[in-house]
Amino acid sequence: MKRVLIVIAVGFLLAVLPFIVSGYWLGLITQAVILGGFAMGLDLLVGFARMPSIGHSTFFGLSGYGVALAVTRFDVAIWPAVGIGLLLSLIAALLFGPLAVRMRGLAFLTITLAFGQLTWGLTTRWSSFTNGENGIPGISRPSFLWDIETVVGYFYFTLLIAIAISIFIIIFAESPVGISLLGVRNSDTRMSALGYNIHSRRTIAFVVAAAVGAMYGILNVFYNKFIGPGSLSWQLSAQMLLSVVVGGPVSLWGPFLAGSGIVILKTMLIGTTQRWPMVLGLLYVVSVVFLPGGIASLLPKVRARFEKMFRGRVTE
Amino acid sequence: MRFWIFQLLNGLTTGALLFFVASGLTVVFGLMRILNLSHGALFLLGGYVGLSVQHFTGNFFLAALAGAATSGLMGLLLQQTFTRTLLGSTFNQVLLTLGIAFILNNGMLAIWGGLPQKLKTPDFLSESISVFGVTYPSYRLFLIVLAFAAGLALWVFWERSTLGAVVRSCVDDREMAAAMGIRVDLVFASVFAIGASMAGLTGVLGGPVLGVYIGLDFEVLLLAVVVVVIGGIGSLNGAFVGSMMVGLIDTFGKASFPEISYFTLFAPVILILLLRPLGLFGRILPE
Amino acid sequence: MIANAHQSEHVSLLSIRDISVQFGGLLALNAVNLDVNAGARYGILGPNGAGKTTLFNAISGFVDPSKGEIKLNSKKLDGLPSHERVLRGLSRTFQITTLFPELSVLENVLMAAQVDAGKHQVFWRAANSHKEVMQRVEAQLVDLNLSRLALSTVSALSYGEQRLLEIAVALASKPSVLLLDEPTAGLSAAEMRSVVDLILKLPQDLTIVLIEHDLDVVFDVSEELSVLHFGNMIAQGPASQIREDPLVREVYLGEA
Repeated sequence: MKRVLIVIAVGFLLAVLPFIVSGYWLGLITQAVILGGFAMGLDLLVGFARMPSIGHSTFFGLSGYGVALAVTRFDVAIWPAVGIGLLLSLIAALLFGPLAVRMRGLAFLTITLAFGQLTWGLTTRWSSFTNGENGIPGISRPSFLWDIETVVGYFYFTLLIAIAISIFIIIFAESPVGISLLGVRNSDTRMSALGYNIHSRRTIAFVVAAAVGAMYGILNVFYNKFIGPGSLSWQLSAQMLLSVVVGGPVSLWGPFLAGSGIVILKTMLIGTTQRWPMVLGLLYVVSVVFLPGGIASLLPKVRARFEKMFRGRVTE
Repeated sequence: MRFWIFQLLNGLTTGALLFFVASGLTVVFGLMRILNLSHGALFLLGGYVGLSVQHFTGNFFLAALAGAATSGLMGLLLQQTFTRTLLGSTFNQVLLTLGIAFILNNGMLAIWGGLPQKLKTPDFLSESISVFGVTYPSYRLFLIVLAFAAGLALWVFWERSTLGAVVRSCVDDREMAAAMGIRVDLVFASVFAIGASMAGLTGVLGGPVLGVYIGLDFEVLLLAVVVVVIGGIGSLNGAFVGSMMVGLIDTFGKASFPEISYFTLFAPVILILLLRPLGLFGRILPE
Repeated sequence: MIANAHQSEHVSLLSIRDISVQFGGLLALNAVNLDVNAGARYGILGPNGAGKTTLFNAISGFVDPSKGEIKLNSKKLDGLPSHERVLRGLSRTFQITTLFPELSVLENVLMAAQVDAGKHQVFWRAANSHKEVMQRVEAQLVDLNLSRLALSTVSALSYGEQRLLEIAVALASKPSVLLLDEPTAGLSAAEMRSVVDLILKLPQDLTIVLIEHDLDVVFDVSEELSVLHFGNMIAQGPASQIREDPLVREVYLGEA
């Protein structure tokens, strides 16, 4: 419950940003919130269940494509198109998930990569339908309680949804299902000897992370008013994986912070240098070699998160 | 009919190049449990170095030699610098080698620029010759023959030679091999370097066919990873069969169904993995 | 064999008929029969490699027998995945400690208790907010003298404490049949004594099947015994009778 309050408090703090920063920065922060939130959801799969997916941008991009294609190809109204986009990602996750979770470690990594490339290939090569490498421009934002066409309006829209999703993730993470994902990472034998269906637990982690990605994918497509194959590239998946590891697996806030930070760093650097991939590469190397526990491990108290969570109960 | 023969040869050429790259990747993977995601970058590095050497000397063989040597040394350097991380968790391995891949990729962009380039075929292989009624570049035929020869040579080395037995013993049981007095660290370093130099060599060999350009590193890496996974981790036979399969599927897919060619490549891969999670020639590797 | 005859007249809680397990060319279990009555303290004895753990694996669903039948409460278990057998009332420990090393003692027990309480599918409220589950976890920890360690990470526990926790976790599933796979393996004499005391203190209606290497422990705990030798059940009967069985003395106790 405390963590839920923290999320709401942080949300209120961020809500004053439009009064402080410029429109350029506000737009950048909106993007940062989107990718940070995506990384936070991926933490459930990569951090909690320790399943290294390098294909979860698939669900981020697929929901965006769902919206874009429904609107441009089939003249669907925007809100129903959102539903179609989410559904498309969810169906893909339910299709890929149960198959992928049968693999472990590097094999899991490779099969998620294969699934990701399969969808990426469809969006880039099936030009007559998806417009190929050029992507689909001109997607207008839906109408909402307030005007979300403006930078400020869309920032608040993103913030509201990000807060809702984050609260869901935190409640989920502390729930019986959430902590069972922590069990799956260590010992299959023990978990099934306790009565857990391993495959279904791993599938839950896979699908929930995908669903969170899909929702942020919708926010992403409306932010850019455009969708292209880049949003389901394996490079984006890798960047998300990096965000979880750099942020600190299982901390949830760490991956959010790292995911957002990378977006801001990238935008700032791309303006000044062509060496962004090198900086990103160095970030990978340096964080793995020097900070294996991630940013979150810098705060010693975080390690004891579950201790705190249960202390009140036990000593009662 | 001519279309099919032509595509068949194209597929075998791609398969041949893939085999040179994937054999190194799979042996390193099987031997050290390292999925080296910078393998594609090492491939491209070889290609670029070869390009420059050919530009200055005009000699293809010098180019091939230089490409192989540079990538081999780079591989050795990486392996020695990051030994501990590389033997650690899957996550760290993946992120580290991916990071290196990005750094090399961007470094090569800085040195050689973003324009796609091509190596010239060596003079004596620049003609086309007629096979099964189609006119086909002799250089590509040379690559196909070379792949079969190399496959055979590697197989003989692996299965029949003492050195091959040493390496295999390290795959099967690291500790037992060490207990028998085998310098496992030396075997690891050499195999890593040889795998990297094979990748670099292939970058040069593939230069006249695929060209040399930024982005090819990740394309090749992706195909090579697919080969390793469907062939079975650590299996040379698997790498050979997998390379030829992927080469043919990719070529025929692109030629026949260009719009869904990625689908035609990855759908069979996923199917194979589901039916045989360990790949065609895979077996469970000891931890 | 004699004991078998009178047992088959009434229905036993756990009944195993003609179970064989094959690993490649090796016959790990050869047509083994076993009947365990409700509330029994049943010991399985046998040298290393006799197939004791394989028998447990077959009962708990980690290994598929090539033939035979396993019934719990007259209901067939064959073909059920291991996690569903737990829901039928079967729980086990492992010879090699199988806990969640990164989680606390409390979380380890909670992981088991929330399944039995039927809360393991809940995703909308915190795991520690289910009062009845938490009370049960606490009670379990108190019973096994582990409450002072409740918040310690498992990897920080001593080996003896981990073995105890292994039992606590298995008990938290509230099984009707508890399979203990060498619970005292690798323990010091004092630690061994405390584990034996713990087993003796367990509720009388809990059925326990125990694999043990240590003869003193087996004869202390179990009233009835089966002896496995190279996958064959070579003797079954009351503890006192097994102790005197000449065949058992020959193959197991090493007497001519």
